[in-house]
Amino acid sequence: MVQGPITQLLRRRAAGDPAADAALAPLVYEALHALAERQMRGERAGHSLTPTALIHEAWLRLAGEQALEAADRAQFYALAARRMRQVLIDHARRRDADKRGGGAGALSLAALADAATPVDGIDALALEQALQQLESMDERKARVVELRYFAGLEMGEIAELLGVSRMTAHRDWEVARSFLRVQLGG
Amino acid sequence: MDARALALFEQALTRPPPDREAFLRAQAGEGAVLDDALRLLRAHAVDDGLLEPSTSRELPAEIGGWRLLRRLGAGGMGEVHAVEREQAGFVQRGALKLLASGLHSPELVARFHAERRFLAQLEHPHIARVIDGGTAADGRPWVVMEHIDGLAIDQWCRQRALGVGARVRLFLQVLDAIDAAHRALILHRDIKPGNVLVDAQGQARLLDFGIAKSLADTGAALTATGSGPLTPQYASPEQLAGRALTIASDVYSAGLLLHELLTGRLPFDFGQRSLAEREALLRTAVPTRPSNALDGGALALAPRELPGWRRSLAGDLDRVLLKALAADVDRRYRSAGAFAEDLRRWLELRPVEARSGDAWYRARLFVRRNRLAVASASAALLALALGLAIAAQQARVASAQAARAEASSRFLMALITDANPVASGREPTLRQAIDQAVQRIPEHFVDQPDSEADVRLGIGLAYTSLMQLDEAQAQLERALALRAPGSAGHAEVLQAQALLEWTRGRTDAAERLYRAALAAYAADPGRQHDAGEVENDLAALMNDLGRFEAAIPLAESAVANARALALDAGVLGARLENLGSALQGVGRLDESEVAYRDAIAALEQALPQKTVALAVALNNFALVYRDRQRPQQALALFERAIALREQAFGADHGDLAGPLINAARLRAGLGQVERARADAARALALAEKAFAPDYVGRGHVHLGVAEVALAAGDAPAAARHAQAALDVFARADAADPAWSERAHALLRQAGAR
Repeated sequence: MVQGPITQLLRRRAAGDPAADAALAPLVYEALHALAERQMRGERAGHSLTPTALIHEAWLRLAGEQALEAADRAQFYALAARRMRQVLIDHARRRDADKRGGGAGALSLAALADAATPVDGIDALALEQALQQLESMDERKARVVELRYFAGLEMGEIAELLGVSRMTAHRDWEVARSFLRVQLGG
Repeated sequence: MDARALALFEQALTRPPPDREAFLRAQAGEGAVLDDALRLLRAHAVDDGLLEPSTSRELPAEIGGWRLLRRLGAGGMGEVHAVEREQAGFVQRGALKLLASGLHSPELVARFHAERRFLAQLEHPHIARVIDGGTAADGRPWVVMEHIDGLAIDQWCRQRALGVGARVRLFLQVLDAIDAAHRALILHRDIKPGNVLVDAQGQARLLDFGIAKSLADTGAALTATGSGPLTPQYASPEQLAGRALTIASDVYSAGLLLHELLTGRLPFDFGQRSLAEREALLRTAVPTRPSNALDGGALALAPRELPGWRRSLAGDLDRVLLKALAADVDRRYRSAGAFAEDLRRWLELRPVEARSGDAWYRARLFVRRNRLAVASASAALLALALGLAIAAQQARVASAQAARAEASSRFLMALITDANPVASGREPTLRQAIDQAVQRIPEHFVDQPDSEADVRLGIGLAYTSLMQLDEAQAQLERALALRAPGSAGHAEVLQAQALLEWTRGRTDAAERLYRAALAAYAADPGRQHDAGEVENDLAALMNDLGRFEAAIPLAESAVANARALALDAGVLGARLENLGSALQGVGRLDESEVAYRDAIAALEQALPQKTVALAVALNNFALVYRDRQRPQQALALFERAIALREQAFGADHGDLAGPLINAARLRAGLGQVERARADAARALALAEKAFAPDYVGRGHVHLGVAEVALAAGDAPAAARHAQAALDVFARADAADPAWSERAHALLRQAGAR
């Protein structure tokens, strides 16, 4: 079966090829960007989407009708999760800057971030700060949060991606969540 | 926050929940680290779904006419919401399950619809019903199930502080539901506490057929998922291995659920192991006996309640659970129904099926020899003949009765004399003599049914001793037909039949027959001695079945009976010995010691006839001392027991293997290594000669040899014999798992040397 270029890029990235990562980033960015534009045109009015749902839509857009393997899909989600995390932080910073009267960039990504802002009452900046703290102590646990919260991956997929047992991934998640709960004052 | 607090907290999570705080307090030295770790632990207990991905935050206010009230939780495939709708003037409540968006792959949608279809087929009081279903505006399928206002079964048991019996009864509802699903050819595949809710009326409901599978459906969509089980802790070995599942897999998962309800924990702690490692572990490891695996904290039991709880599990429930949890599918219950049936037997105090075969029962006999008087076939016949002769002399008033007793006695005496056991070998000749005598009975006892019954009873007992069980059964059946139901004479035959059934390992039948005999004797003021004897037999049976609580009142009554009737010292001693054994079984060691001392004193008065009984009493009394960590005293008693057996049977009898290996283990513990090895070698030689290769007693001797070898620093020999023990236990059906566990431990220790 002929595989599309994105599949090849994802596989090269999985194999640790930095060039693949560099090539993929704009693709993902583009997909997210397109979504944001659609969002601005009000195509999805009345629906608030979670980051996970957005990534999922981006994936559908990129992968199209191709029959892709679960491992490729997981690779993509892992990549997009990192992007999405960045998008959310940028947006939160910009929002705060706006409040202080700073210049408002008319970036379409702002609309995307608006759409993707979690409505579970979690402050994106506080979460980012706590995540960075967790990263400094135990990087893998922060990674699990990224994959679980931002990309919405299943524990089995996360375990596979990180090369650990499902049990370990699950415990990482439990530990990270308890840590974040403490840090976010929950 | 300190990284150390995080690491400690992570370690604590590998422990059972009740132990975690204590673990942190023990490990975290400083104040700040401990405080942080404890904060993490508290935060962990909060179940707020923080950061849990939920694909849709804004749900429509209603779906398919159902108003969404609140989110109940998120499962493997989507979310569950409490819903209600008004219909015909009343409000109906339900639980709406909605497939997560972004997950609607054709496979998942097919599964979702399959669950709905399965449940619609199942009408059962303990399975949650499907009320409604459809597809939401955004294309996601949904289903509404019966609303169950209840708690997960484990929480419910804890909240109501249910006892062992009540937990088993509640669990039976679950098994009935599983059995009903199986009958409809549906596997549940995800049985766990969270999928069984119990309502305020104590009715359990099985939920979430989310990964259920129809046994009739061979369609690839439902099977070719390639994914592991949703809940690995509750998965069967074959499920972890990714092999085809059968109803036995649900039986296994149900066994795990019952294990958790009865012990507060699962049988294996997998820690960080991967699925493959778990699977390998499940295939080889033998679970600890559940009664030894209690987690008092999880069961919310006070320390003083633990021994009673343990006793309720020890024995039959242990066996039932281990049969449900057998790694080998063929050794498991064939169905949820068979599992349920065995639990009902337990509830009704009937012997359970898990005690199949008589290996277990024989294993018990290895240490606690059966204390019945019937030592050999010739002794059985002689006793009866003498008894009849004495009866004939005493029954001068009723001359007809005397004539009858004399006739029977003479016949049996002639039989024994013909066999001439002293002059010409032993059992084979006696066996031939009996076979010939049976031929002569019809001509000898024309129109003398009472005498014929006496003789057939005596011969039936003799055949039992010779292990000619079918022949024994034929004689006893004919004897029974010759005696009037309800009479003491009838009871004598019932008693003999009970012994026969016991010998066959059909202990439920034996118990029933003994109880019938007891009722008949108890009604006859002239047969109080016999009533006491049957009580004693029943106590011995209960002891052999591990039902020590039931044995105690019977043995006490039998002892009181012997004292009241001033029966001879040998009889009293044997009954006291049974009492000591029963008390030992429930851990009442002080009282057990008193009973054994009295038993030994009485049996010593009855020497030489009671040589074997005395040896048994000494052996068992020694075990009490051993359990109380008094090896010197225990050793002295074993030595005496060995000497008595040598005197009774000669120095090369298989019965010596048990006491010899026990003595060797004690000596090894006391540092008398050389003598220990000599005794162990002798015990092994005797066992190999006398015991069948699959007899657990032989494995027990190998275990002892391994232990002694390890004490002597001979690791290779220890490993060899531990393995030999395992081989025996594997072949011996229903061998006590504690022994296999011991063998595995020895293997590990030997490997570490």
